[in-house]
Amino acid sequence: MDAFVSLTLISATAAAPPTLAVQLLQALGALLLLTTFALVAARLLSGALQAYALQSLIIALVAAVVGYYTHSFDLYIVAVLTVVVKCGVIVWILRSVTQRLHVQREMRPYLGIPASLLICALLTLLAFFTSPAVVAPGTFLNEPPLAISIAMVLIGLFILSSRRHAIAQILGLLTIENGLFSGAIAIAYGMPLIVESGILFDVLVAVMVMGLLVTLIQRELITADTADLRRLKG
Amino acid sequence: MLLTLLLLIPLLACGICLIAPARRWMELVTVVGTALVLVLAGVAAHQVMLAGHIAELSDWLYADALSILTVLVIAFVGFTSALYSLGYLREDMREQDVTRGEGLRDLRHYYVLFNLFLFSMLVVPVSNSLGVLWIAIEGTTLASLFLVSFYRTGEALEAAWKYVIVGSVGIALALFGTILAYYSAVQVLGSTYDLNWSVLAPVAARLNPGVMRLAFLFIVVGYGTKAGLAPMHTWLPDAHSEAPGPISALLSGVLLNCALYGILRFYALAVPSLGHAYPTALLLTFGLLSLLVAALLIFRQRDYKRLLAYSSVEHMGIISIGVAFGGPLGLYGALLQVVNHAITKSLMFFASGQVLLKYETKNIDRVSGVIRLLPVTGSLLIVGGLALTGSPPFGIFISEFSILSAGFRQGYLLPAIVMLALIALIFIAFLFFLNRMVFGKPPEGVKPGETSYTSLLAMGLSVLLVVGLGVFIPTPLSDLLHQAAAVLGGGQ
Repeated sequence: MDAFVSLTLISATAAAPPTLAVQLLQALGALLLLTTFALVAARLLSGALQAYALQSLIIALVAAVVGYYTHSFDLYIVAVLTVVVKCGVIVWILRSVTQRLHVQREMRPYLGIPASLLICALLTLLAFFTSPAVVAPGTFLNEPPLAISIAMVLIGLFILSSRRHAIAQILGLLTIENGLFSGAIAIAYGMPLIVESGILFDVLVAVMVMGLLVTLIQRELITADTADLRRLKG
Repeated sequence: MLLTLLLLIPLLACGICLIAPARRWMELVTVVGTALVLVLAGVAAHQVMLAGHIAELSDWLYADALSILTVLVIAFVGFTSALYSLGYLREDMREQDVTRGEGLRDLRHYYVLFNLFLFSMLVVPVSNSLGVLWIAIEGTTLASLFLVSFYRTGEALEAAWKYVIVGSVGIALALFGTILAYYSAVQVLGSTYDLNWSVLAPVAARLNPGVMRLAFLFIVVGYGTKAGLAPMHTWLPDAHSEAPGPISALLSGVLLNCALYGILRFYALAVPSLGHAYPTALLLTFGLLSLLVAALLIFRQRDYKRLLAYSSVEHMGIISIGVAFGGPLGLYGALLQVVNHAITKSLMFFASGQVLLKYETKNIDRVSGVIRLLPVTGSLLIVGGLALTGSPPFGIFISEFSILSAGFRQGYLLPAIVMLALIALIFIAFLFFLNRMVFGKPPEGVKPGETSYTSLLAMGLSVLLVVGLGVFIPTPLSDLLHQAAAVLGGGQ
């Protein structure tokens, strides 16, 4: 609790000389945003997967840093679980599904990559301008981390709606989830451990299930392009 | 022990189905399991009525009147769907060899997931932690995904894909709402506390209102996606129409209620913290929008299962409006509507499943003379259709009447009138389509006659309640409803 209060004070007085903790978190936040943009810029699924793995690794680092400064053992466990589940198992599953889909390995964007990056930059700006309004005045949120997670959620939604490949859409979903996960750490210093690990488990099962579904769709319709899924209307 | 047992039974049934050697075993285990769950739910309801609430497993499981009401609904529709599944699957897979190979695998796949789906839905109302609630609601999507895509046609796979993507985005937003709700209490309860309903409810009035306001918005949009509130309902008609009959009944009858339960739990936290105005405005907007979307789209439907799906959007809208009107009467009406809708809608999906098996088409234009070919199903379609659209003397009439009178009494004149008009519009569309299907000349070359006794039994049990709850509401049920309304802040 004491450590918690002290970090609260650190972030509340962030305008004063920034401490190492805040600097570290800000640097990690910037890296997080960078990997998210890399995901948008990826032309091939394999590149997008690497960007996702990197993004998850940085989130694990954020958890570890916050854990170190708040003396929270739980957050260390969360960090380790994140590396194992996200960088390890999830990436492995998605990679093996991709390799099974012999022909289609491009992201298949509806929108070109330069235009996509421009839109994502605008979304990030939007997130930075709206997040202070979102946070009630007088609370101890530090604004940049929250803005970054909101930006990630928005970019994730954008990936989801602008990429036609089913696997790319899963990556959009995972980016949203990563954004929320980092948001939980940034604003509430993590949720109870059992909830955090439950969420990770859920995400893992979701990826397994969706991977299986993509394989079925590919086998049945000989496509993993969701633009070919448009028979059901109204 | 009671709640733990309630969760263990479907899990055990799921395990047995995984290794059962033949169809008969899976059917027996599923039906007996769901029957036991129903009995246990009844016992648990009795205990909750006596003690106010039950808590188990060092407070991880917690049930008050609101939870137990939801459990009862899940248990009842779960039981009738299990019964109905027997006949439906036997008829549906009659040309397949189900003793080995692919046939047996498909059958196993169905019963294993059926029980798993039931388990995940039962976790929702009895979990104390709002985090576990979230995990369970996400779990319901994952467990039911391959039930939706059971037929593995292009359409079924497309529906499943839409279901999982739209559902997951919604659930992600709900996660954000949950995180914010957690954060809203950090100043009251300290930085590490169990995100438990039983911990939060007593301090609800002191939660940070600014954060809670945002949390509730995300919860309504997030869980509302899963509950089928417009405009986030887009996955619902596809999933409901492509899933096998008994699964459509479960999706519409109880899955939507599970998501709605999530909203209600947060509603009970939001009102003491924010006051009535904001939650009311939010629920009223989404509720009326759902009714409007349903009324506009119901006229365009050519597929009778999609017709029923839009009717689910309508009813979820009505329930939200009931909660928004609030007060003892509005909340009581909304909860009664939950019960009535679950039973009536599952009856309708059972009956439409019978029609699908007989006519082998979901197109309304190609179905006529149901009453000649399937006399029982045809009559039930009429009874269920009248009940569903809110005609007296059936259950939904009573609950919609309560909601409307609550609206007029609390001064929501315009919303109540709009709601009434839209319900009337949907009534016309519904009966027009049903009339076309049930009467008229049946197609030639189709043999008349019902297919299965267990299916008839399942429909019989449902219709008994549909009619029964319209005539009178037994005292234990009305006590439970009043207590559940009190949990939501509508005590008398």
